[in-house]
Amino acid sequence: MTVVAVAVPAQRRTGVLRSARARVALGVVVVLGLAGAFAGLLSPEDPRAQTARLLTGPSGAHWLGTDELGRDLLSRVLHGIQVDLVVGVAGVAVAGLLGVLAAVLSARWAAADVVAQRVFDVLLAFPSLILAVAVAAVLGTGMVSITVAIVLSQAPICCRVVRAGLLAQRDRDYAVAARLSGVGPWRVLLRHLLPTALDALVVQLVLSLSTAVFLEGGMSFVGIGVRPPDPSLGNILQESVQYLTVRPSFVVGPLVAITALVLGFTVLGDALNNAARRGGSQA
Amino acid sequence: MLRYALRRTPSMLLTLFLASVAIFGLTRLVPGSTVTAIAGSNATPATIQAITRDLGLDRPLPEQYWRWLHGLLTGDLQRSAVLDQPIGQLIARGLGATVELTVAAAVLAALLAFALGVLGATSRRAFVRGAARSVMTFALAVPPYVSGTALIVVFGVLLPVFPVGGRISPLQDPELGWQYLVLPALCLALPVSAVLGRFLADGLDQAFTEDFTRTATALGVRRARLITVHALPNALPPVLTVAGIQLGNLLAGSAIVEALFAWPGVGQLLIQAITNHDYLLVQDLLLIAVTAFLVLQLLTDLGQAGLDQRTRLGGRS
Amino acid sequence: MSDAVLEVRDLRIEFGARTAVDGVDFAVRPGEVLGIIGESGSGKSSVALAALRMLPATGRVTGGAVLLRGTDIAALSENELRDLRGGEIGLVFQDPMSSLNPMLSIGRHLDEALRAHGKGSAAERRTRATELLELVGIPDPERRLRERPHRLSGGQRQRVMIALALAAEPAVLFADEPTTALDATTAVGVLALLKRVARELDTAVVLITHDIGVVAATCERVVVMRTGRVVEHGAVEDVLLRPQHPYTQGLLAAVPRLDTPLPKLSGMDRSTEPLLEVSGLSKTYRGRHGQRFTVLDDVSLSVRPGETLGIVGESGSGKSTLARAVAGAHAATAGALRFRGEELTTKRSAELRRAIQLVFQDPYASLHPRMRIGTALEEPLRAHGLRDRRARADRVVELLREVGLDPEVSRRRPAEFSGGQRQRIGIARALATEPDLLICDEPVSSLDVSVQARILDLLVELRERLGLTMLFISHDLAVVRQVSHRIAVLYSGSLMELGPAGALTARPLHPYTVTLLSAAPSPDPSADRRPEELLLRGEANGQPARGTGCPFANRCPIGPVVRDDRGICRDRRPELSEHEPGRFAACHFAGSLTRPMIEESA
Repeated sequence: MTVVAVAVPAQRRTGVLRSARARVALGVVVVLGLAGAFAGLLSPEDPRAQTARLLTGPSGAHWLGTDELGRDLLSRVLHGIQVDLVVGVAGVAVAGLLGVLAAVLSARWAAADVVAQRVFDVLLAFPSLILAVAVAAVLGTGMVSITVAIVLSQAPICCRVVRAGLLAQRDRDYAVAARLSGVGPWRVLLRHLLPTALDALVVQLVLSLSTAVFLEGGMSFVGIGVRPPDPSLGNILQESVQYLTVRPSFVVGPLVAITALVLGFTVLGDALNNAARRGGSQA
Repeated sequence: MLRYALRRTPSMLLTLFLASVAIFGLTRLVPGSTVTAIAGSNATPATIQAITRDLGLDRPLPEQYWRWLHGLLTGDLQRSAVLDQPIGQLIARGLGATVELTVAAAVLAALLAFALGVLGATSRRAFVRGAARSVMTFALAVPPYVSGTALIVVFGVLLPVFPVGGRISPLQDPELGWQYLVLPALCLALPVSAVLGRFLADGLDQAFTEDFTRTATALGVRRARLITVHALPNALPPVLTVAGIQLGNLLAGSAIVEALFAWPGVGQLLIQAITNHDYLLVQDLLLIAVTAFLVLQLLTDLGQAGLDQRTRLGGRS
Repeated sequence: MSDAVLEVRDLRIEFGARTAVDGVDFAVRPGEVLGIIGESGSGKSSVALAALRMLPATGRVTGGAVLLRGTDIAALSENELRDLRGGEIGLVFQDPMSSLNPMLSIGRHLDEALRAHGKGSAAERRTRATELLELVGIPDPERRLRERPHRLSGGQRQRVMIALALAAEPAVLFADEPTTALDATTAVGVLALLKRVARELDTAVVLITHDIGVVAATCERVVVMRTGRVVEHGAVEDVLLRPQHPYTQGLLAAVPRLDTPLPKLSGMDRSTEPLLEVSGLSKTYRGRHGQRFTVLDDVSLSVRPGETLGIVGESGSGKSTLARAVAGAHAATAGALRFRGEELTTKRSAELRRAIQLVFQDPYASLHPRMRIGTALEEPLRAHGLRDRRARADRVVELLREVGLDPEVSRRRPAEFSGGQRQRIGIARALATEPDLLICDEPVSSLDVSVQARILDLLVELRERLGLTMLFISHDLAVVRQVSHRIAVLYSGSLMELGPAGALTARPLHPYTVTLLSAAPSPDPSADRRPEELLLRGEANGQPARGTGCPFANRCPIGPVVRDDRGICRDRRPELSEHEPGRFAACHFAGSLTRPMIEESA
């Protein structure tokens, strides 16, 4: 008796880029990513070079104008984007790795779970900005403490997301089936459970990137992040606020850059999330 | 309800204890310590030693921790050596301003969230739903220092209708007081209203896809009642859960908003203390923030349990 | 048909480009129960939704009409539509759990339904709500009104759903698979209620189901649907006893029945030691507040090599717990399992893992959605030491052939297969390690009847060919009877009766077995209608009176509830004892209730 499998028409892949919003967000993120990556090439001037033209408005020579020390704002904003992305990507990558590691160990050993959950409970007891402030208090100002703040605030969230994904699947029939057919615990965990759990992590990582930009901006804005003369979006914005009445156009560059970055990551994360949910409901 | 609270409390106290140890430990690890901050960079070793002894920083760490904790519990806070004022007074003054700002922001956030969330899920016009959702995404993504700056530009510089910095207590002058309050509170409320509004909209959307909504429709229930009586009770509990965490974020976000609007609250005090290396003040403020955050979470859980009695009964099928 | 209250004329429904319903005609009169029968994808549910104009956004009525007392419902305004929904046509859904709002009390539910149709003041509505609950047979309605749905059992929830649908006294009641989520003994009562509604309230009832037995027991006329078309239509007696259309004939032939001669099963090996021995197995769970739930209570049985032991029970009987404990998915709380004399725990040797395999109930959940079929089948091979890639690939081809699938499919993922095909893959995976004992946990209960029959045939064929010993678990006595040598009946975690399949189903010893047999839907409409509501009180809730008495005492048709002199059932727990050679029952009055006797008591 041979029954030939008749394929059920494969469901149309529910792409992330189905909505126009998601496509725009991806475009924004890509453009800003390139701008940050090639900030050195794209910048017309050295972002730290001071000139005599203080607080000028936008012009042919200085597209975004100059700041209170006569530095070219376009160059500063481009380098600021670079700083934000470096700090964000590094912090979020480390947070993601730590999160996955902790989640996998937690899912494997109950004792690891107890320890990890307690540690993360303590970390999550600090609102992310307060945590960042605490980190700055200890490590001082600068890119390292921002990165550490991002790691400490995002790793627990990443771990929870992955752990929840692993635990939700652990008693699913397919996981039980794998165990019963003799597949070892590590292989079940890594091959059968982790891939699905990582879907949710991808969404979280993108959202964490927006939090990272948010944290950098916040810390630098209140003066405990990147310190001048090094540019970062947060400290440029902070400087611009001082001269809001004198030169309102000063604020445009950093304001738009931060908004675009955070918004881009958020919308992209939402789109990924929706796509994952649609895919999940069909599976 | 009480039993549930009692069951949750030990875990919270343990977290709080561990957090306090962490805060204490961290503030002792700091390189540029309080002592140098007071004594200045070219102080003699003798001066430094004297200040260290004065602040009790020469004692063994466990003893220092115990004294700190004991002081906190008995209300005997030390003096801020840097600002040369009693820490208790500093905090009390700041806390009043911060609580005022936070409460105003929370009320504003709840109102905005409800309006945006309900519109975003239930408006019959796709355009209105899309607009409400876009507003929420935007408000969520834009950090308070950005929206605050924008608010200042618009309402302080371009059309100067509100004062953009400082605070007048509404107790002294209600009319002026609220004018100073509007912009910072709005700035603080925006992201929170967006989070809550989105959860509400998603919850309503979810409720509309549930079988029980189909049942109600099949019974001929009107759309307005469908929303208020059948969908909302199911959409609200998750909003409440997030609300607790968001209130904590409000408190945290106030640090930045206070800096931006020159609002004399604990947030400003904290930033100031860090820049001054005033660690005795820093550790107190951090612990207050964490305690407030945890208590809010506990209260939310309790509210949640009250709303959803199934939690109390054990099963959450 | 002039006296019809609802008429569906040449109805055509499309979902996007797909035609779900194509030219369906039927009419229903007041006081009549009309059955619509069809397998999944037949479009039967779309008809009900179309009658309320509640098709999902992607669905459209593209032809024909639904006429209520001659008026086309397509012409109704928004307001008239609300009157139609609930007011003229009531609708009962399949899953009574998700169809009731968990946040609203039963009283609130009923009040909303009454208020939507302007039925009186708040006090009047409350009185009416109480009446409605009484009407649908819910005891203590005053108290129930205040409770939320999760406090009610499945059968009670479905009764509440019916009360809701009847609240505004509609002329037509659609019930879409109203008993599919319920146990057979509970379903009987709900079906009886629907019949009573038609009879006493003169409501026209349209019963949509996949289950021929449900139609046979309840309906006067029946419409048979297949892929959106009506293939046969007529009086129940005509259609079910003298089916004209080959589809109906095939469907009827595929339904497992209790009154057919037993199939010939190859003999088992009586001489040797039992392959599997279960002795005193218990499993308790600890609830969140420390209360204990006993799901398996001191169960002992054994399976000989080559034998198929059927295990029958309703939800909460512990049958899946037993299956999974034997498979090694979880540990028992007490008792022992022996396989060829060797102790079985959850930590078992590779050889024991190889020898005992499990086929899962839900073929959708038991395959990893991302994993290609080939990879999924290779997993157990790799785990059991088949290192050579080529050898594994060959074995996968062999396995797929064995279960009747084209080996070409090994590159595909589960989403590309139908339910029956997935179950074949599940079976292939279980067979990969060449097991000696195959445990099938409700292997066909989530499949359509016609697919079900083919999977059962496959399992029987594989057993004969490979010499498998099987533990076959199902809620459906008729299915179990077809494939098993012996049958064990579980109720609420306890073994009630154990005996040869033929004798046990023909002359049950235990009153619970009798109950199960009477509740089992039979596709034969000429069989005497069963004395439904007299039979069982309450529902199995997984937590019956524990301790001293018989777990079935409170629901037993010959127990202390009916006969005052049988206090012993509450006081002393009956032991499982041998009443005839090879036939065991745990009842103080084993054999005293036979089927004819119940029918007399009706």
